[in-house]
Parts: sequence; C-alpha cells; structure tokens
Amino acid sequence: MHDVNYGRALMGDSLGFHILFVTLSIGLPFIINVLEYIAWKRDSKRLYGVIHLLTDWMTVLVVTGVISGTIIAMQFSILWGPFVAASRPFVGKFFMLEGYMFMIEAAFLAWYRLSAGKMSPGRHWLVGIPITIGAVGSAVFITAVNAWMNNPSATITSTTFFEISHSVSSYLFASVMIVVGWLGWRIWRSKTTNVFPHWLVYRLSTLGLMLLVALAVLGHQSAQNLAKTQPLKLAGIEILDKTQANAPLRIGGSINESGEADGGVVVPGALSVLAGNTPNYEVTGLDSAPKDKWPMLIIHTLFDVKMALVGAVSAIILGTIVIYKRNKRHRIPGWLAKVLALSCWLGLALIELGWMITEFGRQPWAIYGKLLTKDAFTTNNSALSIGYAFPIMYVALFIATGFALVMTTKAWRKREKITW
Amino acid sequence: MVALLHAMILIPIVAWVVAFGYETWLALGESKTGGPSGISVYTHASWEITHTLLVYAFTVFIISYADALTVLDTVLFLPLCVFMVSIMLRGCVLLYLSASDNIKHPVAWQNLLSISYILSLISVLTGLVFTIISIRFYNLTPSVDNIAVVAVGFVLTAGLCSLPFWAVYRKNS
Repeated sequence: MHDVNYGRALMGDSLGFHILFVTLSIGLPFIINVLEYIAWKRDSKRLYGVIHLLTDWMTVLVVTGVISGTIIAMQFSILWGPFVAASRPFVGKFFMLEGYMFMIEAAFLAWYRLSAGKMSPGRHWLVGIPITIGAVGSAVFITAVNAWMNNPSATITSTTFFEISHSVSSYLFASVMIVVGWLGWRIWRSKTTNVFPHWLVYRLSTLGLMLLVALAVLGHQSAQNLAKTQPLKLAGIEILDKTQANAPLRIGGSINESGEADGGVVVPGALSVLAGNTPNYEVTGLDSAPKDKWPMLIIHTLFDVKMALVGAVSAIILGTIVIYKRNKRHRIPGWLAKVLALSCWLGLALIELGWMITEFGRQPWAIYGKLLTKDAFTTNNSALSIGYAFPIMYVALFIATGFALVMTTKAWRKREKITW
Repeated sequence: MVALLHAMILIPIVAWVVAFGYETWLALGESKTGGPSGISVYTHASWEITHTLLVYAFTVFIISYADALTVLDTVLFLPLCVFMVSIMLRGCVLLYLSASDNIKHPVAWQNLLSISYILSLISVLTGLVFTIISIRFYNLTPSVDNIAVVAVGFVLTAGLCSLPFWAVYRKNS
C-alpha cells in the first residue's frame, strides 16, 4: 500500500472513533437543555434525576472527545502538512474559531457541573446553554472547513449551509436515539410500570421525529445542491453512467468493466425529479470525467445501506409515538422497548455512513478540483512509523469510555435510588 | 504583527504550563493518598479547560506556520507522538479512576496518572524548545493574515471563560 493510503486509513480510523464521542458530546448538552427547561418549568425531580445522569455521561464523553480531538489535530499537522498550508488562507480562521468554541464548552461544563444544586434552577439552566453553543459551534466551524474542501469556489457557499445543518441535525438525532435506546433497555430489563420512563421515551421520540423531518428536508436540499456543486459525487452515489435528462434512480447494481451502470432496481426519471424537480433536468453522469477522477464507487452501496437504515429509524420512531398514543395506559410494550434498545446505534451508524460517503465521494481530491489527496500528504516518511499504535490506543480509549459510562450509570442508579 | 502573533501563541502555552504544572503537583500528591481530595477534586473538572488553552495555541501555531509544516513536523514528530500517547493514557486512567468505586491498587493507578501528567508536561516543553530553535535556525516566518480573528477571539473567549473559572475557584478553593 502507498504511504498516502496508510495516512488515509490512519486518519479515517481516528475520525471514525472521534465522531462517535463527538456526536454525543454535541447532542447530550442539547438534550439536557431541553429536558432541564421542562424540569424547571414542571419542577420535576424525576426529570432532574435523569439530567444528572446525562450530565455524567456528557462529562465522560467531553473528556474522551477532548483527547481524541487533540490527537486528530496533531495527526493533521503531522500527516497532512501540505493540506494545512493550502487551506490556511481560506479556512484557517475556522480552525481557530473552533478552538474558541471548544474553550467555551469546556469552561461552562465545569461551571455547570460544580454549580448543580448551588444556584436557582433558572440560572443553572442558563449556565448550560453555552455548553450547547460551544459544542454546536465547534461542529459548525470544523464542518465549514469540510464544506470548503468539498466546494472551494468560495470560503462560505451553499454547501457550507447544507453540510452544517444536515450534520449537526444528525448528531442531535443520533444522541436522541441513544438516550431513547437506553430508556428502552431499562424498561425492557425492569419491566417497570412506572409511567415516567415511558413518558420520557415518548417525549424524546417526538423530538427525534422533529429532527428526522428536518433531516429529510435538509437531505433533499443537500442532494439538489450536490447536483450543482459536486455533480461527480452525485453521479457516483447514484452510479449514473451517462449525463442525461430523465435520469434514472438505481437501487443496488454496479458499474461494469465498460463503464456502464448495470443491475439493481431502476426507477426511470426519478433522479432528475429528485435533483431538479422535473424529469427534464439534466443530471451529470460519470462520463463527464476521466476514470481516474471518478469518486470511489463504494459510495453507491454505502448510500443504499444508509437509505435503508433511514427507513428503519423512521419506522421505529414514528411507530413508538403512534403506539404510545394509542395505548390507553400510555405504556411502551416490552417488545418495542426491546426494539428501541437494540436499534439505539442506528443514528451513529447513519453518521458514520454519511461521512464515509462525503469523504470517499470527494476522492481523488483532498480539496475538490484544487489539491489531490496524494499531494496533500506529508513528505516526511517517518510520520507513519508510529501510526499502528493509534488504532490500538483508540480501542483502549473506547473500552475505558464504555466502562466509565456503565460505572457512572450504576453509581447514579444507587445514588438516586432508581427502581426502573 | 509577528510579535503579537507569537504572544498569542506563547501566552496560552505559559498559562497551560503554570496550570498544568499545578495539576501535576496535585496529581503527585494524590499518588501518596491513592485518591483526590480538597481542591484536586475540582481540578479534574477544570483540567479540560486548561487543556483547551493548549489546543488553542497549537491550532493558531499550525495555521500560522502552515507553510513551514514540512520542516516543523519533522522536528515536532517525536514530542507530539509522546504527547498524544500521554493524553490517551491519562484519559483512560482518569476515566477508570473517576468511574470505578472499587479500585484494587489505587496508589499504582494514581502513579500511572502522575506519569501521564509528567510525560505531557515534558513533551510539550520539549516541543516548544524544538520549535523555537527551528524557527530561529531556519528563519521561518508565520502568516499573519488571521491575526484579527486570533486577537479579537482571544480577548472575547478569555473574558467569557474567566467567568466559570472565577465561579469554580471562588467557591471551592
């Protein structure tokens, strides 16, 4: 394997781990803000109890996120020096602004934790807001860098807006899925008739549904934006071999050796309608570029899997709301609690798939149309000599984080005398 | 402008060295007792704030010296790798210590935590010295086109972040 591919694999591993921690450290402050507002207005001790647990989780995940984020920044400078040099004049300030947001998040998290129970509920809720602003803000700025890599026609473009709004909404949604899944697991294990966890599943599922609707709208708009700004990526996602109006949407299938799309389920004209709202819209195909500039076509399969998972999570969330509302005692049945618990990882899987499609779909470019990935890689050959250690250390960090989450949850159950 | 930029990088690093040096001293104290007590209970929560000072300085540094990274990443390779290992070690140990209610060898774990602190401190200081020497030796010049963002953001963020610092230490020191 060429050095640049080792570098990509190393960076991909690190980012794959990092995004898991970061998703929750962005989503949890948001969920805590929402729940704490309800708890404050209703003076709900039970809800405050859950907020205490989520705050413990958030702290653990911020510690982990800080560590993995620092490592990412350092790997960037060691492995991708030419990329940093090329991007500095355009998006250097975004990297710096991300650092500010990061500081705000960490500082207010410390204040939020240590002031719990020592100030009025309203003031404590207010102290929690900057944690969300810091967490979401750092995601906004670092995603703006990625959006520029995908569409470097200007520092801020339509891609910036769609990529940020779509990814941040998906982090919030994935975090909601995790918390709902944990509640489902507790209901399943304890078989509790206590109305509170059932009510909380319903409330959070409603929040999840709102986010899903936003994600669907933003996803569609992103795809239309992709057709204009990164047409080859869209062609790769949909394996559209020829530039054409009335372009078909293909589920499954592949590109054969002669460069033609083959197999799968074909819906005539659907891609033109999705990309341009009319069958007459001409969608750019893979034939518009030489083969060595094509994106990695695995993105087609990844996208099909992603869409299947989107269908599954939509059905689960919508089903939960309908079943809860139709149940006269307002309970989540045991089988549904089991489904929620077992599907809690789906939101995170969607994020991983989304980022893989974004990154594989931009290849062979690091900065689309401007800098090839092989030219963005360092000329320092020793940079990879220690690289093998990082996936191992990330696994250790992953295990330590999992252990800390389980132990803090156990300690919380004991402390708050939780029976469900 | 270059002097201002260097100040913007060095001030957070010096602040980090002071704060982190204090936290290392507290961690060494915990090694004797096998667990945190007094103010050190709170420094575990504030450590991540201290750490962000370093992240900020590092980000400003790599963006400003982006054109010289090919030279600098050779010089910084070893200190950065040691630092990455040390913070990963610290993270794992701290998560274990803070979450576990029945630790079998508390002193040994605290010693491991202290080692991670010392490694972090040494690697950052070594990296800083190597960087200063390289900048002087190769006559490297930074880009100052983002200086306005750096300066305004630094003042605003430092002011905003001092609020929780003040609130935490006023009540707990």
